[in-house]
Amino acid sequence: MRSADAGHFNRSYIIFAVTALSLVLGYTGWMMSITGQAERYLWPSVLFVFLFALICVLWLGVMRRRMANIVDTLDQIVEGAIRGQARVTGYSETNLSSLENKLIRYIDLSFHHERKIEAEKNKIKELISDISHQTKTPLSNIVLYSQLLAEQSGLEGDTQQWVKQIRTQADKLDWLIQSLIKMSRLETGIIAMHPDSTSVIDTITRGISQIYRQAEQKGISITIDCDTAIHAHHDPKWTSEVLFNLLDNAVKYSEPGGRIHISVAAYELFVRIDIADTGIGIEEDELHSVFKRFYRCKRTASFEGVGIGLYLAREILSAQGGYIKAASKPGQGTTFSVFLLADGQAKV
Amino acid sequence: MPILQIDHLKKYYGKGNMTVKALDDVSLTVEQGEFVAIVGTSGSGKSTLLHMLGGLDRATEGKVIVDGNDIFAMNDENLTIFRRRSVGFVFQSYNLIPILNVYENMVLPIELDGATADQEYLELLISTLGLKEKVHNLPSNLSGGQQQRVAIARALATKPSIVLADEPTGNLDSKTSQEVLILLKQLSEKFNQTIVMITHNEEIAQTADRIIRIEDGRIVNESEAAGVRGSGVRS
Repeated sequence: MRSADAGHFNRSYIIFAVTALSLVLGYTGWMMSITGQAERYLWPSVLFVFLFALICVLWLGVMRRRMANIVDTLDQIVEGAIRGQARVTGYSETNLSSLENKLIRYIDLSFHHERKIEAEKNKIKELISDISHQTKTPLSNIVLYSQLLAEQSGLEGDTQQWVKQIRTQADKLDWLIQSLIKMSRLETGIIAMHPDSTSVIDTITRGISQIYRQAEQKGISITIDCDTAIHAHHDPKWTSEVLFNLLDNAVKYSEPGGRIHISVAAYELFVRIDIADTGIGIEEDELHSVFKRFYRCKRTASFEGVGIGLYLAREILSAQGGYIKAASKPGQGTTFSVFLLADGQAKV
Repeated sequence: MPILQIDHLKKYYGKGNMTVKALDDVSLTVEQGEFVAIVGTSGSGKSTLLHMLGGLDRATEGKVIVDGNDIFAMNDENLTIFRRRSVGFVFQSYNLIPILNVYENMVLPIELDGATADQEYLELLISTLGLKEKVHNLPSNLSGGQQQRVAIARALATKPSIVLADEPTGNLDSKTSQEVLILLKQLSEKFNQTIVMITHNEEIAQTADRIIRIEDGRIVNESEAAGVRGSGVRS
C-alpha cells in the first residue's frame, strides 16, 4: 500500500516541478523578448527561478511531512480503537476526530454483537444441561417400572414381548439423549479437552477394554501393533471414547470370525492410529458422508444405530487438533485412520 | 456473499477446427472458509482453471470475481498487486527462495507490499505448521514436507482472500502428504481461510469439504463432504 502511494506521490512531484519550471522559463523568455535581450533583466530572472523552485521544494516537503503525520495519526487511531484505548484526537472540531468517533462507534457495535452472541451461547448451554438433567429421572423411572413389570409373574407371551420392547426402546432413548447431549456440548465447546502427552497404547487399551467382550462373543479377534514408547498429545478419556466408537462399528459391521487390526505409526507432526476391520465396508461415494451428523449408509439400514458415532469421533478429534479419515473396499473391510498431534506439536 | 465466483468461464486455444476447449463454460461459487478440491486427470483443464482463478492467465470469455473484484477487468499492474495481497499460492515444487531462511520466506510477500507483519498471527501459523524450531533454517536444510509447510505458511501469511494450491502434495510421499493435507484442512477451519486445491488424486481430495470433478473442461459433478460449513454445526 505504502509503496504504491509513494510511487504516485513521486510522479506528482515531477509533473509539478516540470510545470513550474516551464512556466518560469517561458515567463523569463517572454520578458527577455519584450525587453530586447537586455542582460540586466537576466539575473533577476535567474534569481526568481531559483527562489521560486526553493519555495516549491520547501512547500512540498512540508506537505509530505503533513501527509505522513496524518497517516501516522490514522494508524494510531485505528490501533487505539481496536484496543479500546483513549481517543487520540480527543473531541476536537477536526475531520480526523469525527472519523475516529465513527470508527470507535463501529468497533463498539461489533463488540456488542460479539457479547450478544456469547450470551446466547450461554443460554443454549444452560438449556442443554437442563434437558439432560430433567430427562434423566423420568427415563430411569421408565426403565425401572418396565423392569418391575417384567418381573411380574403370570404375564402372557405377547405381553412379555411388549414389556421387553419398552425396555429396549427406553434404553435406546437414554443412549440417544446422552449422545445428543454429548454432541451439543462438543459443538458449543462446553466440554473442555485436556490434551496432554500421554501414552497411545494406554488409550487404545482403554478403548478395547470396553468392547472386548462383545468382540469375543462374536468371535472377532483384535490385534494391536504398537510401539509402547509412542506418546501423543491427546485427551485419553475422550480419545478412548473415539476408539471405542470405531471399534464398536468394526465389531457391529463384521461377520463373526472377522479380524480387527490396530496399528500405530508415528509421523513427524501426527501419530496415526489405523483401525482396520474385515467388515462390510463403505461404498466409495459414501466415504465422505459417514462423518456427517445422522448419516447412515444404505447398506447399514438393517443394523441398529442413529449415525452420530463417527460424527462425534470427528468432533472430539478436531477439538484436540487431530483428524480422522476413512478408506474402504466394499465387501473387504474398512480402515479408519485417527491422527493425533505428535508430542511437541501442542498448539498455542 | 461468496468469496469466489466463477461465471461461465471459457478458455479456448487455437481457432476454427483446431480449437481446443481447455475450459468450456465453467461456473462455480466458493464460500468464505471452504476447502474445495478440484479433481481431474491431466489435460482435464484443472490447471487452466487454477491459473484463471489466480489471475495468471486471462479467459476467452466469462468472469472470475474474487472478494468482489472482477479480476479480468483489472490492468496488469493492478492484477499483480491484487495477486500479492489477495491470493496465496502453494505449488507442487514449493518455490521457496533458497537464500532466505524460513521466516524471511514467509514474510517476503508482506514486505514486498511494504506492510508490516502481524507477529501474533505469524507465530500462531508457525506453531500450527510445526515450524517453530526451523524458523532460522534455510530451505535446503528442510525435508520436502517441511518445505511445503513453509510454502503454506507463506501463502497464508498475508491473510489472502483465497489460497490456491496446485498439487500441493505432488512431490511428497504418502505419509507426508497426509500430514500436509490435514494441516491445510485445519488451517482452513482455524483461520476461516478459503482454500482451493487441485489434484488428480481422489484420496487426497477426500480431505476437502467439497470435491469438484472436472473432465474435458467441464464440471461433471460436485459432492459435499462431511462437516461442510453451514450444516448446522456452527450456526
